[in-house]
Amino acid sequence: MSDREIDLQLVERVRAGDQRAYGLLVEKYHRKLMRLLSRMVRNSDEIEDIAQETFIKAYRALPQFRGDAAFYTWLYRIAVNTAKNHLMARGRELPTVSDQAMNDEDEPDERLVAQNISTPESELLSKQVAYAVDEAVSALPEELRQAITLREIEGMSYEEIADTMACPIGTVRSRIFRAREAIAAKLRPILGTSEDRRW
Amino acid sequence: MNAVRHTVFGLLLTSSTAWAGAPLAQTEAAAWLQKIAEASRHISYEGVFVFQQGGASQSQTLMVTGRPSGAHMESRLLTLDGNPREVRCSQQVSFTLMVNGSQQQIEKRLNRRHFPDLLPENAAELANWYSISLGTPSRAAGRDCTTLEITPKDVYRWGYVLCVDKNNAFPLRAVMINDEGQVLMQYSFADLKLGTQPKMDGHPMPAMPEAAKPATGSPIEVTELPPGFNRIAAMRRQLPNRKGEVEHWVFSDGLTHVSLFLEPVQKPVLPIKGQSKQGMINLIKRQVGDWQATVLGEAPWATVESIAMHLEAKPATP
Amino acid sequence: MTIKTATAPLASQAEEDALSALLDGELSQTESLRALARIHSAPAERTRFRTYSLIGDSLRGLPDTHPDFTTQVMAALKNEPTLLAPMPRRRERRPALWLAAAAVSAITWGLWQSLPDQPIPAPMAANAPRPVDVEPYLAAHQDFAQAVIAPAEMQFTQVSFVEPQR
Repeated sequence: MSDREIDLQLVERVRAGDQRAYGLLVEKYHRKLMRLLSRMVRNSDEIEDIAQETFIKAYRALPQFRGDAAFYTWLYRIAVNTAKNHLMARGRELPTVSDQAMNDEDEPDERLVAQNISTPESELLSKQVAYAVDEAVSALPEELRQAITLREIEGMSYEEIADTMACPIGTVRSRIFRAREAIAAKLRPILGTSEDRRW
Repeated sequence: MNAVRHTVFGLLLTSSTAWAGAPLAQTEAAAWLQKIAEASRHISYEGVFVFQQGGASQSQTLMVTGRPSGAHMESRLLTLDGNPREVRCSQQVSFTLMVNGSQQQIEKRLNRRHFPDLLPENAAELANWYSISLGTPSRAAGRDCTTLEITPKDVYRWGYVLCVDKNNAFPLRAVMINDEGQVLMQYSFADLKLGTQPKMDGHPMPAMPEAAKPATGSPIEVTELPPGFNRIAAMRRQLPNRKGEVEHWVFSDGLTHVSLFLEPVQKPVLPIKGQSKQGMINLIKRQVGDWQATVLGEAPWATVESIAMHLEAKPATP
Repeated sequence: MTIKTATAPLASQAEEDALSALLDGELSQTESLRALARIHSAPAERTRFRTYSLIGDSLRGLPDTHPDFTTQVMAALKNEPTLLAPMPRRRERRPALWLAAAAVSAITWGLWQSLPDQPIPAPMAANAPRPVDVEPYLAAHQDFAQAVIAPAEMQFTQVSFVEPQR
């Protein structure tokens, strides 16, 4: 089942009355969505507000989601619409490419991401998380590190990774799983217990 | 063949079992086409549209603004995802601005047309090569719209389904489809405001050196073109991220565009055929005399092949 | 090396890595539905879902700047009415459409074959152009024709052309 079909399954589940399943979609896409909103809106509080409003609007509009577009595409259109209205309501002009270019002289795109930080506490936490992930990945044995990198960064399928690493697909699946678990173990102390994050 | 084509498009477009409308008479078709072409060229607009190619797997979101400036239009396109890219068009000049980290790159463009100006200024001519019928009304970008099916009369073009604003015929959605009714490419407004006073900020139009020179009288001749196609552009230019210059010619029937690139060969060229998913983009590379010809476009194989196979090296002048 | 396994006990060893494979889109239909059912019924699986999602985004340079975001959104949704709007059955392709399509393709091919030149496709071996070879042409064409540039995956075959008789 493809990623897109999984999203559809989750949507069907939400439409059948399981509100909690929506949390999985929010969890999956909110970081990506906020990154893209940061291209249109510079203030990190606004980004958070717009993102939250987007997910709420999307939830209400789920009965109209027909599944012929991918869920994320549909979500993204709602986000752009919401951001535009937000900016218009504040009499703000839409950002121009050149404005960004002129203000971000020395810094590449990462700077836009940094502006997402809201409170000092969450800034610290997100840095801790990023650092822990980096550290965990570097500490992995070569074959696990390669597998997880080819999957998450290069976006290769298990079959393609199996070709690249000259090993069976089952081994790829196992290596990726073990890599994730190793990284998750390093994150556990930072993220706290599951009770803290229950929804 | 036309009856079969209409069946295909009719079934595609209607969600009920009713047939789509019969093709309009040529004059009525021409009038509709012209009305749509003019709709985006005389009114100001600002909106966000999504462009999709090859199914929903790839999509881009772009912001577009347009406003009349004298007898012409000024417009601005801005990508909202992926690498920042901005296109600005005015009567005098059209250029692209790309930002890569701290670097800006400006390139002059040779065409001013982009969505929502899907149809050419002289759109009535298209009625010679495409038949038009009205489909079931629908909605797009929060507006009621009229649906038009633009069906090719022969094998040399892809078809379109257009959703245009019911009141003013402004294009809201354009879907390119192949002969099996599969969706190849789609533009779709997510948000649109008409008749506003949009600001055209952003980079002022810079003074730029010419990006392209007129084509040389190259020793290649096109002996035949598919019906309705004419050469609409010919220039000498550099390709993006490539050194050296090539000849770039563009053939079009007003809606379908095919490019020909000519460059001198260094070593013998093996002829190849290329195709994108669902055959939307077709490509041929072959040698003609001392030249390497690359023909490609969002057009059926027959079109690309016809153009590529009717290229001849002119005999050398003594 | 010793790897800590997931905190919650799972049905069987073989299924331990199912969630990981599910997120990569690598499970069959049946296995996927089973794995999804486990997520819906086990909080520990949801936690793993969250963690794996975070790891993937982190590797792709998307930081977790708002760690409570999901909790906040779900809290806000508590006041929303629960949805009950089952998905409509996706419409099956009508057979007539495909018959018509086959007829149209035949006509297309017929016309094509009547042209004087007959390309004979052969699989490309070592001479296959790389995508990067074609990109500049495609980009230049798209920039001219529509201003929106979209890379396309192309497949290539070698052809032999019979020169037209004059």
